Amino acid sequence: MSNEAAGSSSHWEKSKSLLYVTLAIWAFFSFVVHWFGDALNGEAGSFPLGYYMAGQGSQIAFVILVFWFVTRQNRLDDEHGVSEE
Amino acid sequence: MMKLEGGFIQNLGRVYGIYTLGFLGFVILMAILEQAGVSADAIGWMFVGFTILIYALIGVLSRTMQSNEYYVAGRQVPAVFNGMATAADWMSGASFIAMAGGIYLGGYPYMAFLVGWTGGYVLVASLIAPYLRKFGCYTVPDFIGTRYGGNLARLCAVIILVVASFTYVTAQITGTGIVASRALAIPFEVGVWIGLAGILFCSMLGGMKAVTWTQVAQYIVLIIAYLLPVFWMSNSLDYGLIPQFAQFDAVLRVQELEALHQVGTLKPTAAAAAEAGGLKALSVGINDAGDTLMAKWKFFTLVVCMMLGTASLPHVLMRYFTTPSVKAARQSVGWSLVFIFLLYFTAPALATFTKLSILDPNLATGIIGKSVADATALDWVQKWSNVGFVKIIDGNGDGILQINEFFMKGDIVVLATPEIAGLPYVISGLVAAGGLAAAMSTADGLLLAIANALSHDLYYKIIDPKADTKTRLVVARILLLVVGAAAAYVASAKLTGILGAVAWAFCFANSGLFFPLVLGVWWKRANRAGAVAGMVGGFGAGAWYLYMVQFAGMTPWLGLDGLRFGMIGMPVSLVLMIVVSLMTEEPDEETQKMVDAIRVPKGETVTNNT
Repeated sequence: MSNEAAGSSSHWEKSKSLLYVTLAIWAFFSFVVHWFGDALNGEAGSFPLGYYMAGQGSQIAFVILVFWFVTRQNRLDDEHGVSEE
Repeated sequence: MMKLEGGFIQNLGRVYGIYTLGFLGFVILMAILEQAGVSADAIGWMFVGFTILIYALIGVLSRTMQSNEYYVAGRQVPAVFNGMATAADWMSGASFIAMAGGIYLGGYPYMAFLVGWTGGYVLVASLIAPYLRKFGCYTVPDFIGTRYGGNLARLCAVIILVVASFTYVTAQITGTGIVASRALAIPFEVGVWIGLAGILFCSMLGGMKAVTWTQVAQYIVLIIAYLLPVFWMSNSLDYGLIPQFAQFDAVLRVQELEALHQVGTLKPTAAAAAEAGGLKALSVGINDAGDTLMAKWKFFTLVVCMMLGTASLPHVLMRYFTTPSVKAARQSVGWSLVFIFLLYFTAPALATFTKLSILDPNLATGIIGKSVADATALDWVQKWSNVGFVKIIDGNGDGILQINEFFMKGDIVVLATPEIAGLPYVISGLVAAGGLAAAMSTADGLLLAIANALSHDLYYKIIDPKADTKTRLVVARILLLVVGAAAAYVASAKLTGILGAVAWAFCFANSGLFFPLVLGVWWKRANRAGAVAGMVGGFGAGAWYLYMVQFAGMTPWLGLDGLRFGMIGMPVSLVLMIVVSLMTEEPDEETQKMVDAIRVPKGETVTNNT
């Protein structure tokens, strides 16, 4: 019983760390990038990077981030023996 | 019956594969009929009629009298298909009809919606959905009521859910009415009720089970309808095979044209703007990100509100209750985002290519800078002028159409683009069917979220806990009918524009529900008093601020307009919830164990819903 409790508490600690990393990447593509949207757009005639990030780049980052998170969390559950059969 | 059901789940790929081919076959048949001289009106009728018939058929075939099928589709929807159903549930009439037009008229700042409505799914996957799935609830207030205990917490959650979802659903039924009235050439008020009838056919008999399988079918129609015209335009304008990647050269070209047409400097006169009513002339550059602190702040706050709203809207969260496992719920959030992404990263491309078509004087479709008489004679200008979506006012009387003399409603970017770009009418019919699918699927999810919360949480859990399954399911259906009729009544009275109301729903949801949901999983110390204070205080503060800014003429604080009132509600909710929780007793041991149990996928669900 105590072993199981210790096992699941380390599982939860690691789940929290994974969450913090995920939220940090999420915040970068949600807020930081677009705060500098105007600067990223650059000179007239150059590739509109600020526009790109708002219209497409951040969305691609979110798709990759969710699947990365899901894979890591599933692996974490397996390693601690708390996943479903 | 169980055996047949299992067979259906195993054959989902084949069933929807055949369905998709059948739908493409139908589109080709319509194209042939158009060539053979069948009228545009008849083709519009067939597109709308045929697709509604299919959805209703799926709804009737999925009828059920079992509560776990009615409430959570029997918890056997595979991750990928639940992803498609969620995408249809999520992408509303606003996403389909209004979003590209919003980007067209609003430029860069409007794209905060794109960022917010996709990034919110990172929060759904990591903070909330898998844990609620493990909890085993039927509805979102079911989680609040069981985690915090007591009827008061449950009731608060039900009220917030009803306000947020009802605000949202009236907008969807309005969208259904607009598309149905255009495609069938009937009055808007009649279109609203026809749309409602279609919506109820999909959900009344089979609840969540029926809505799931119609939503998958609706996703397939709406995504084909959205992508096809954009691919066609990008290729016919010679910008490249894949419009989503080709759009950035077109953005640069549009910026050259904006300089030519003086977009942003040549604004409509006050008299012309008044005459145009709700229609707008293009007066913002395509890529004016703005380097002021206020521009950055407005983008930031809109993204925050939409993201945290996404993670607290009950009709989205409840879709993840239908997967077979916690793992599948997680994966399903990823698939939802993929299917949503397909439409959202196409929207700016659609806006850009439409803008190019209208602004470029070298193209046959270009009208700005050409003669007013020629523009007025165009078929699509006449057709959309007749229904009040387009207006040309030659303010300076020089006979040339300037940028500040062409007024439009944003919705035409999606609805009229096939005609503007000179595509055959069959594409317009397809787009109408897609818009209808988008509005209907979201309306279905919302009506079900409201009716289920009222029947399961208010009626069964609070009013009559001894009610048997049959009575509960009858009550659920009666409530569905009543809520649907109320929403259609509000929509037919034309009380709100489509998107204003949609953004409000997000702010109602995040003000009242975001922190009680997240902290319920992530903070064991959160207790009943804290949750109730967080819900009442956050929702109350947000609603009060919206009222003051929108209706009482108060100057917005820090540029936080009616679309962003979650920025007031959320901090109030968070602070109240933490302070009140800490000031009152910590939750009992049973509740603490419950939280431990939802934090690991292994083991039985917490609630024992029957």
